[in-house]
Amino acid sequence: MAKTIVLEEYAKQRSKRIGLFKKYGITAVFLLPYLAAFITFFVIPLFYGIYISLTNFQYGKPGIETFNSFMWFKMIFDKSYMPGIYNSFWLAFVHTIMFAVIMVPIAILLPLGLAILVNQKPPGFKLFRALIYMPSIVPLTASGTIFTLLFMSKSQHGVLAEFFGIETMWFIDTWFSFNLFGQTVEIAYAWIPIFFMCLWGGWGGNFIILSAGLQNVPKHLYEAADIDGCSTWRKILNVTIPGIKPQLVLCLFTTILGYLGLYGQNYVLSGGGPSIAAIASMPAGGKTSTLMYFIQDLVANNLQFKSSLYGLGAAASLVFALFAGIISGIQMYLTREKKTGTKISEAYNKWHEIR
Amino acid sequence: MRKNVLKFLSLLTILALMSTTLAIVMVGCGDKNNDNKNDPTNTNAIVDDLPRGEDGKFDATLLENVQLNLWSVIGLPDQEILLDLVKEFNKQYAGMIEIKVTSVGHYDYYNALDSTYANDYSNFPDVCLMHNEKNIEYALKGYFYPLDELIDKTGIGIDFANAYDNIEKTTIHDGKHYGIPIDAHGYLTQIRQDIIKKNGLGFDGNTRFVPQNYEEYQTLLEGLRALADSGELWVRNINLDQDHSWYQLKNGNPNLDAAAQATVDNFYPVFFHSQESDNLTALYVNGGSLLDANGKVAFQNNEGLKQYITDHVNRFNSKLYGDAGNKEAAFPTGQVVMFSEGPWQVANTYDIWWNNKQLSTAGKLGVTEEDAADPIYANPYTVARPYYMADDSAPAETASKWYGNGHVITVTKKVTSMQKVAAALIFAEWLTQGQDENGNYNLTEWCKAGHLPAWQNVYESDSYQAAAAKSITLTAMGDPADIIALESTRYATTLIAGLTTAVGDIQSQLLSVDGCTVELALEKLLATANSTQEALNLLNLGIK
Repeated sequence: MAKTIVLEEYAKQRSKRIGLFKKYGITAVFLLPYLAAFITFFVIPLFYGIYISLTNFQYGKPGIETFNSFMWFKMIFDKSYMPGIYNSFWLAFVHTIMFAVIMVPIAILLPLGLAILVNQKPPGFKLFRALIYMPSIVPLTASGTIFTLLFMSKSQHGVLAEFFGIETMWFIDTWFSFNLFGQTVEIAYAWIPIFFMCLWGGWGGNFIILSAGLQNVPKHLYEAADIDGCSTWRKILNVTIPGIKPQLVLCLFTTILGYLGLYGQNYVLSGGGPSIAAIASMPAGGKTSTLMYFIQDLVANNLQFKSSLYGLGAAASLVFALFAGIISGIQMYLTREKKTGTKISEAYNKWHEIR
Repeated sequence: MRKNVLKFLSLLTILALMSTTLAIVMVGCGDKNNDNKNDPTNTNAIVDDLPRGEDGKFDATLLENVQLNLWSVIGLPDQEILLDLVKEFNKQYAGMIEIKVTSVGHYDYYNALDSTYANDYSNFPDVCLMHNEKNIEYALKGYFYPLDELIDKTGIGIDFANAYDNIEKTTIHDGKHYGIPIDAHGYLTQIRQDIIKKNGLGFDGNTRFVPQNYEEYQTLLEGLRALADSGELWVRNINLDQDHSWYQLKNGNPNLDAAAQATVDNFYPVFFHSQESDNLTALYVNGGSLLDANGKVAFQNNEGLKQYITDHVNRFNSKLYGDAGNKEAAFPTGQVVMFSEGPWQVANTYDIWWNNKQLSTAGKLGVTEEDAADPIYANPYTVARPYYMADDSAPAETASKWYGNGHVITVTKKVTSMQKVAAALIFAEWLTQGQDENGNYNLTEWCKAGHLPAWQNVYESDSYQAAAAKSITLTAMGDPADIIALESTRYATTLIAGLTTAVGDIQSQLLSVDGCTVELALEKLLATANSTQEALNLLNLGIK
């Protein structure tokens, strides 16, 4: 029996289809290019990386690998399985954390201070603004050359050695050492040039973001603070900082992730060295190695490792990603918008209107 | 908060389940029929399409336009000689075989080989001209064919009995040849013998200026340093068109720009150089090896290597060694007396510049009658093998030899046509054993660039001996039988890096504020060797 559709029902269905298209279709059309890129360059590699980390995958010979009973993860988490890998991975982890803990506050506070100073609009502030941002446009390899020249030894005519008589062998000497969980951690002087290169090359980005934020802090709040007799310091603490909180959170987020992934500066300045004899032939077997260095040694820098240890590189990447995710999660939780101030009254008004 | 944690944990569980499922599916769907790549000895993929004559045998003249892509690791300056040879080969085999050369710098070569193999196999080369110490490492990755059976099938006359065993060994694994050796060479020490003579620091009553053992070498370095520190050292600039008059460091030479003269501060007896070849020479001349018979790392056990390190630590003085960043510029100015360099550089440039005719022309540019008449002052630049590093315990058969690497030709597994295999072997045979109409080996032409032939019949030929007599480089390198090439191993890169890192780490420690003792140096050697062994274990696990 043929199905009969009355005109009214047809119109209703059609209008529903158009409504649905308008509601979701347009969104889908706009979302599709991003979604395709996201799936191609993130979701698929992520799952492929998880797959590789569970097998004895060999670079250049996909398809012959077999499941290896979590061997790569055991190496990372079980010291008795492969002590060299365990030691080099966790030493790289310690280096990464220590450097980020020292670097992140400075990489935020220094640009913040500079941004506040420049925001006072002293004479020539536009020039200062340009000069402060300028290091950020210097490519990493070029700034690496600059800092290498600065810190080279006297026999290599390093600038610090020649002009200031500083005899420290920056890329060779150990600064100090300490014990951590029964393992000696040697801190190399090479971290100092790395620190300065990171600071010099990195402050411009945060400075620009924070400067932009400062422009948007309402002037009347400063006027009110003046009337209340606030000092400059109180104004910074109670007006400026809360006023640029979104920018600060953004800077914090990108800076933490940036320094957890530290690699380029170490690569161009110290090559991850000086080496540590006990783990010298392991990935990241140096005193300035980081987690990213460990991964790069496995999947790029060392051709023999690359051929057969890609799975270990993938496993280390996943552990690193999980760790970075946890740190970012904690940071986002701590800096979330709290329902305080006008938020509560606004929420009440909304509730009241509904009622 | 608790809700969020639960949400996160569920997400993790879902991800883990999905990835495990995906892993199982992908493992199940894996391509297991990849034997040509995975089994290094497999030659089954080659289709026998050889053109044969009436007698049923392969006839090379019947080949038609077989094209081969060859990747060459040879860089300038000897690249030009190789390209000329390939051009000549293409001319002789016009219409039959054409070799297209892609030159890839040695810093990129192996990375490019791996990347192309993995990601762009259609552009993988048919033939590789590469370093011999990497031959077995890459053959066991499944990149190259074993050649013995293929040589037999084509009947191309490559007789390995003519190759030097000591050089050929790098191409053999489990009794099969994975490459055809071409040449060998070690790093040569460049010496300013005029400065040594002028300052009375030569040997045998100041008549010999090349140190022949550790004691002579170290005494020379210390003598030069002592004279330099007191400002009494005599030096001169031998660059073309510069003032060549002698001066003492304390006085300087007013006829030279500041950058063109030596001073107490910028003078170094020797520049740091490739430690890799020195370390391997110290190991091999003392009868050592990188691996023992059980395949375990063994370099740390060699008494001669330990003595080499001990001597170095005991008499270390940082002012003896400069950093070699500008060695080619510093050497002719007299800022350094010795440095090490590959022989290919010597053959092409330095001889013309640094033994130039101005130095034997009296009365011009500060050259005196005495300078011009003295054979050492007129030819101030010489090259020699590195000083022998043999300890008293060194076996007699290795004590006077030296480490050297070289080049080989391989056929890659991208080639699946027997015609192409034959064409590649014809080229290899032509380059290593081929002769021109006068009976001169083609390999002699190549060796003029600064390489020793890996083939005994070539070395003993009149054409090679005549070329060697004219070449300061070939004369200095001497007999190919004296070369000790690397052991055949799939872990060459890791092993060489292990030894280089160990000695480099000791060098760094010597330069550090704390300095280095012999005990610490030997501890570092042992620790690095253990780490290298662990790296080999790790690589073995990865391959399984």
